[in-house]
Amino acid sequence: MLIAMFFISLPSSAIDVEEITLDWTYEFDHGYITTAPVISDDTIFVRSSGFWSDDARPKVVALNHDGEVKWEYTNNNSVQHDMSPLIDVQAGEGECGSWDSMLIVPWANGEITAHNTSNGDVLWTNQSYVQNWGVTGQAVIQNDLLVAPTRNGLSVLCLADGHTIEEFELGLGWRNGVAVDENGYWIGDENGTLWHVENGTKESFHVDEGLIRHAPILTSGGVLIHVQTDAKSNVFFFNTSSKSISLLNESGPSPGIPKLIGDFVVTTDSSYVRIFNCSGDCKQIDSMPSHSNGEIGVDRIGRIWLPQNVMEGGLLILTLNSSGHIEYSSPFNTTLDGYSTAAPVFGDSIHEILVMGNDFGILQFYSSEVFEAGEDSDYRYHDLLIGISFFAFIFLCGHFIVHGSEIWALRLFFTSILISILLLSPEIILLLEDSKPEAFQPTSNIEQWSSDWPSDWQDTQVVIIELPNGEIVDGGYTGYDNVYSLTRAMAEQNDIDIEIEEFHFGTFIVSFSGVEGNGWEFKINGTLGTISADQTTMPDSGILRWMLAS
Amino acid sequence: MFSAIGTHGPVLSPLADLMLDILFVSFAFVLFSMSKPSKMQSLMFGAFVLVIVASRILFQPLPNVQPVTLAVLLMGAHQGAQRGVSFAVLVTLLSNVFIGDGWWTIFQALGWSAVALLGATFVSKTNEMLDFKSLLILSAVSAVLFDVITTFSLVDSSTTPIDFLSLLYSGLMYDFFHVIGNMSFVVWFGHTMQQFLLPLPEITEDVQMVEDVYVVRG
Repeated sequence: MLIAMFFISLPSSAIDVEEITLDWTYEFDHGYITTAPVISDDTIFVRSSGFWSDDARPKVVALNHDGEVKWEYTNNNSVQHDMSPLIDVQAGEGECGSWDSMLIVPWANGEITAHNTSNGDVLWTNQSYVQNWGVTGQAVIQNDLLVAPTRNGLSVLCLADGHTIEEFELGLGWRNGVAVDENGYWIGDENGTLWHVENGTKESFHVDEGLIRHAPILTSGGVLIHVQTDAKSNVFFFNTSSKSISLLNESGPSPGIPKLIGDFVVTTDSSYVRIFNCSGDCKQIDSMPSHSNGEIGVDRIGRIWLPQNVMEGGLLILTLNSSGHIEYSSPFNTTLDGYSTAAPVFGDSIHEILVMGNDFGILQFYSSEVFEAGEDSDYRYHDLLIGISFFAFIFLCGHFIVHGSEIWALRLFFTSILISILLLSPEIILLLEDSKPEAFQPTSNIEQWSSDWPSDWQDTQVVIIELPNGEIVDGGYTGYDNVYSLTRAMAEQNDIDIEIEEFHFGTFIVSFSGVEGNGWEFKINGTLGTISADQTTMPDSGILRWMLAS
Repeated sequence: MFSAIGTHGPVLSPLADLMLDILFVSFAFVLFSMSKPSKMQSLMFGAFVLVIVASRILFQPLPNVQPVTLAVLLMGAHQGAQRGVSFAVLVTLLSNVFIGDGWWTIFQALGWSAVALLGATFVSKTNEMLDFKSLLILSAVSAVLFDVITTFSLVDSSTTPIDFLSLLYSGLMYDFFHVIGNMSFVVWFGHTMQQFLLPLPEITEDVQMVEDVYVVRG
């Protein structure tokens, strides 16, 4: 029984999302779904988008959790990409009046409509500036106001009746959402300019020759901007104190909409997903290949879902560890995969559902028991089983001793000890490593600085990978706090494919450039690593050497 | 078998690998034949090798839980040093074909051979079962002995004594797995294994042959 419990209670290295089931789909006759659906209690709202050359027009549809249409609203005047996210507004009141719960829908023809969530009736309409198109970016609720990015700036509307309170003419924009903080409004434009509006005063900061097509990401120290340029993109940090702009990274083409998750910002494009630590000034701490150009979804246990905008489609699921490094990644595929930029959305703890749309205009509704046993509850389940095992052990040992069966008591005792130490092994190994006596600290350092290396690699992190056809050496890396993140950054920089294997006690490299051998091991400054790559701290400067395991 | 040995050992050509394999297997067979086994004993020996190889592969996902160690210890204790070392070498080579082969195979074979010798040294070759307490202690000592010997596979020309101590320290937890694993095998399978390995078949067979002769002549 204990052995069975052990195997059941082993924490899984991957969350088995493949168990979810597709309950129903809803297909728009025309157009794409390019922005995330909205789940509001028992209703799912979703909008379509596309080029409209015939009688078909974009619309918003409300469905119940069984896939039945509750209402739909077609905007006969909208003729462009309708990709502004829907906003579910709860009932409330403020200085400019009171309002019932409603769905706000910004349109590409410049209209902003508010709908009764029960029947779709239009509660109010506001018309904003149009130049070929109108609103295409993310609007934001600020107390009793709606702050909407218009074609040529932004508008502040009263939620109660939709009347315009103030308007600001800024740069021309496309999909340029607005961000709001206590210091005012932030928005980018198609000229690569970041605008800041505070107490009616406009300020502009030229970031780059390119396009800002997302809402600026407001971090504790400034603003992160991902600028689209010809055939690539650049990630910038705008320091709000010094009003200085610094380039964080060059990246791939067609950037998606970045997402702030705690202190970390996730950026996407056609080449990579990157993680930035923005607890102070932003700096990149991790990255991995991905082709995602749209929105980013985050579920309630913190997993990041990236729609892959490629023909084969699917999503890439990531989890970050506490230091923001990618600790787990896995593709998620369905039978309806295809090009996709709309983020998936998730139910709450009561409604364990996943809803997502794609460029085929197909909305998919999934439900799953697995979501109820998500990562956080896995560990509660795990702890519970250990507790039950402990009491079962005490009971059975007592039973066997009382009934004179010493051998069975011993069997139970040793098996329980073995199971316990196996379950606790990751923690114990780390504890032992942390408390290694000074006398046992390795003294040899066979890694010598090579005179062939550039001088600017001095005092940085240098990585050497010993492949059968020769060593690949790269340096100048800084800020990578563990072996795995440094290795992945180096591999990415040098176009080296990495295959990894993840266990509950850590991440291990299986192959570099397809070379497996008997696995790979590493040395830091000549000292052999004894625990997994992601658990091993990388010093601020040092030489990391990867070699085929002996 | 030893082709993929990376940076911590000599790089062997496929031919050299083959020669080394042949050398090890020949060594094991010579040792075994020197113990003058009967057909029955040879069959039982072969079957036991296969069972322990399979069990090593089965337990391989659990870190350093090694059913081989107890088997080798008891083989040395009840069947003698020659059969014990032969058994250790064969099990190591065969199981590493499935688990992963390399420079360490040599050290594992050495480690388990040492355990077999330990069994043969501390236990006289008798028909008596080892008492439970002694077997528990010997199994724990065997685990540490094996782990220390296999740690030498990580030693290269740059390794200092302090580095070696550091490596041993880093392996403490895995040693503990091995010790507790061995003790668990003792309490679960120790008695059965000893019954299987006690040198009774040899005597029984000889006596039977003598009896057969008398029956035929009589």
